[in-house]
Amino acid sequence: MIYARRVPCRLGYTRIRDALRGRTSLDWRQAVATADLPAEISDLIRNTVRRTRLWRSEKIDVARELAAHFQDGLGTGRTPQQLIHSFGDPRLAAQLIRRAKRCGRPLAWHVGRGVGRMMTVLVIAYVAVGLYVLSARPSIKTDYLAIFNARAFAVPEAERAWPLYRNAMNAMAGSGDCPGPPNPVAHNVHWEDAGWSEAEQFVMQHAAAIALLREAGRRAALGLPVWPEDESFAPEDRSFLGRPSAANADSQRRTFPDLKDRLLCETQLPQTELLRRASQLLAIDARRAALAGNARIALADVLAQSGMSRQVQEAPCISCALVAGEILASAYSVVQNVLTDQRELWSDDELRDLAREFVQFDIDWGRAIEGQRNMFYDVVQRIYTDDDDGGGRFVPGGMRTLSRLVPRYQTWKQRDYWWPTGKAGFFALPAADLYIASRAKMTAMYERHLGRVNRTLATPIWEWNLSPHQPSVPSFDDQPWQAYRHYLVSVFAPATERVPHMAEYRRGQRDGVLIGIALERYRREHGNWPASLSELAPHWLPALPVDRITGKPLHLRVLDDRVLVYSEGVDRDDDGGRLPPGHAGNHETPAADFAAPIFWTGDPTTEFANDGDWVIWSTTKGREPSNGHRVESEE
Amino acid sequence: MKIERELMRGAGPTAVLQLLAGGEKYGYELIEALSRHSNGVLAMGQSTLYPLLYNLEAKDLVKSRLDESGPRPRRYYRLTAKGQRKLAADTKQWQALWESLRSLGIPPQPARTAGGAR
Repeated sequence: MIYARRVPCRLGYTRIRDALRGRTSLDWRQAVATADLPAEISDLIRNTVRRTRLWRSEKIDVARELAAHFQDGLGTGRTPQQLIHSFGDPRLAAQLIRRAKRCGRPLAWHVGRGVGRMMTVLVIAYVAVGLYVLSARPSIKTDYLAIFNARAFAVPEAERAWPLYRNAMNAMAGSGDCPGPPNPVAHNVHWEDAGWSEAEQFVMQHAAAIALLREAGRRAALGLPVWPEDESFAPEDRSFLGRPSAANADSQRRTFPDLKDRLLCETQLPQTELLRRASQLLAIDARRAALAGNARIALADVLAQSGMSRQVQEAPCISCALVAGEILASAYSVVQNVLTDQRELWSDDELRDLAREFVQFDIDWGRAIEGQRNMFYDVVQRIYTDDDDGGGRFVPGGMRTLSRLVPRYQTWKQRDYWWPTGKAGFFALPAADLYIASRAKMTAMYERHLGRVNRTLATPIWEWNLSPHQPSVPSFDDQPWQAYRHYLVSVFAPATERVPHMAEYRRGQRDGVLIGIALERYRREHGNWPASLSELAPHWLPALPVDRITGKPLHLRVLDDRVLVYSEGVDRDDDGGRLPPGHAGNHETPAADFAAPIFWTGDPTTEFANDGDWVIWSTTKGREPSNGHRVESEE
Repeated sequence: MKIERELMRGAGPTAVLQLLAGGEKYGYELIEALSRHSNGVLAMGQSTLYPLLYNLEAKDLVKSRLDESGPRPRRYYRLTAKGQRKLAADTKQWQALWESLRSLGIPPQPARTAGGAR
């Protein structure tokens, strides 16, 4: 047993090792044997030297010196027993010799030994942390997916709009990958556009399907529970999941062997794209009806669009709110087209109904932010333990969950980030536990961000204190290591950052269409335009909206028989209703951003010039506000 | 009389350095010299002397060389400059310690006579 324990030590100091080092003649036993000493003394020396466990070169020095020592002792006439007695305990001697000799070793050896010890301690600590992490288990307490789908489940089956949409889209199945009209038709085509004939022909050919869309849009709720995995959708709905039909093969299907493993943020939202396309079809149909003088159908189409924007918000998330805004903008543009080119189409009562519809409904941005928060906490409860006090530890499966979020983060930041999985992930667990922000810190940072977003959302723009150099969300652009440390914040915060801007933009658009309807009703009654917008309130408008950027009154400009209503824009000076050059904005610049949305092309590389106004309503001959409107040609 | 280990731990290195101040010596010679000069008081076992020498060498207070010209190879130790400085410093400390002990009556002063003469 003792021998077995010493084998590693013996292996470390063998002749082979000396030979490998280029050292020969280091056989210390030979040095003892050639000293011609009595057997008991030779045994004592061998015993002592062997116990020192020194390098062989050191052993041979010690062996030679001890041999010489005993030879000298014998030379003075002492007996071997006397010498052995006076030598003392060989075990103690070996221990002291070892300690002393090691002290005399080169500095490099001491450094290496220190580093080795430190590494050993670190490895032990790392393993200990690893074991600590391995013992952690997530505490999934809240079914956020159920919360997400609560409204959809609450809708009685007979009142659900979704089956109508599905039937309508299936009836229009074109050449595209998804059911519904081919893409060129689905755009918000205006009657002066080149593709108008084709679009008009399409909606006329599919009148029954359009009628279904119209009916669906007036239903109270969508009634579509949504899921991360394909299987939970009804078989007839799976073709709307946004993937090419050929890719709906088993290998492409999104599945989760363990349903507990699904993330709320991976929930598929087929209704967003479907309702966006349906809304565009209704906009085309409304314009077609307006041209044909069919006020009832045109109005029904616009009201159905408004209903769609309400339905799409059934699922509380930012994407749905953004699509709701797009649908409303499409409806506003139809109203503007009609009041520009077919302004006698709708009766006063119909105009009042329209205004009432738009007043009653606003996009629920707060609920969308709450949905986003739920997505964040859904991930949090899967990657951390929960100590019921806001804190928690990283769990073994956390790395895999984070790696699933990488595509989302890349979408926001256009950067490649990587979380190790599999064996690499296993060995990186302790490092991840030590590096990734704790549950308390992660959630605190996210809540600070949401707090800022909600405060901004509740504050008019002219009271915003945003600087282009002080983004409201931690961007970590110059600190990618911090992006790793606060990865969840990096992933989930950007989605909410633009919400206050978009909310104000959509509110401004709504102000515009409400003022436009009021102006038209005023014109019909008085035969001319008001000299000032203040004449509209309170009879034509309960309250006159103010300029959402400056807080001052909006400007009204009459050009011949046409009107223009505008905000002063982000430059906060009156440019007479002239749009900024280029009609495009840089959405990376918060302070300038607000003027940008109305001209925002979605291309962040487009140069933004903020010298101009934000036109929120115009019946000057042209296009809807969302595409910008030049008035210079009218002047 | 044997000195206790703790005391010997302090005195041993100084004694060895002092012996080496007289010239280089090998291990057994040092043991013999220690025993002879101190009437056995500072005699130390070989199991103690050699580690002590290796320690002094590790601290660069002594240097050793292997002499293989004699009937048997011997390792001789000599004082280095650093060792000389250390010996000088230790000697002063021992003197100070000795003076302090003397002032405390260790060792006891001889009894005074009535005439004041010792």
